[in-house]
Amino acid sequence: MIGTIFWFALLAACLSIEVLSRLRPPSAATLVQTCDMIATKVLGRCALLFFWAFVGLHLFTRYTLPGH
Amino acid sequence: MKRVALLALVAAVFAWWASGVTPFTTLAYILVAVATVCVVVNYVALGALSPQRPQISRYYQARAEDTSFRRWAPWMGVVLLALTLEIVGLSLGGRSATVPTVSTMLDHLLLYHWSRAVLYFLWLSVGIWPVVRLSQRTQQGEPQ
Repeated sequence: MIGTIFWFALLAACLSIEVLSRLRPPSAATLVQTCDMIATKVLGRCALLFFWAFVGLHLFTRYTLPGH
Repeated sequence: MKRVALLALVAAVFAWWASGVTPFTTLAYILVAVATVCVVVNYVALGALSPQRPQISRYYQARAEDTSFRRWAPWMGVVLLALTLEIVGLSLGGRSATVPTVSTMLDHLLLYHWSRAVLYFLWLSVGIWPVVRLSQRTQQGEPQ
């Protein structure tokens, strides 16, 4: 239960950072700008692609429905 | 614009079909592999993974605007906290009710076909969008 609360707190933090970065642009980078920053290097672009592929593989081919 | 709309439609149909496939089957793996290969091949074709294309790096640098640590430190903090939580969840067996992993949390969102289709479409969009964006820039003459 405590972990679930932490996950929701992290989600709220993500939303807050995103909203703050859009309302006050110099204060923080948006999520897209952060990804763009990572993508400035070829290695960063490779890492982003790998992470994206991993998420797809993990989420859509290896999921277990709760209670099944 | 027409091309993007058509691409979105194809992605939506693909997401609906692929999200109905039973997990842990060969077809489920093939469908994710097909989507991944399509994105990677197009990204490579645009030269995005070539070290001989500094224009691509400059393009991302311009999009990122200010790349100082202060600006992206909040995201770094969130990622570190998420990693810590994930490691704690995994060390508790991965299916702990006290500290669930992010996969266990997301499994609840995958209960219904429509919610799986929405997530699948979002995942596809996240992969396809940078390719579309870069391809549009290339057509406009930058980066070459």
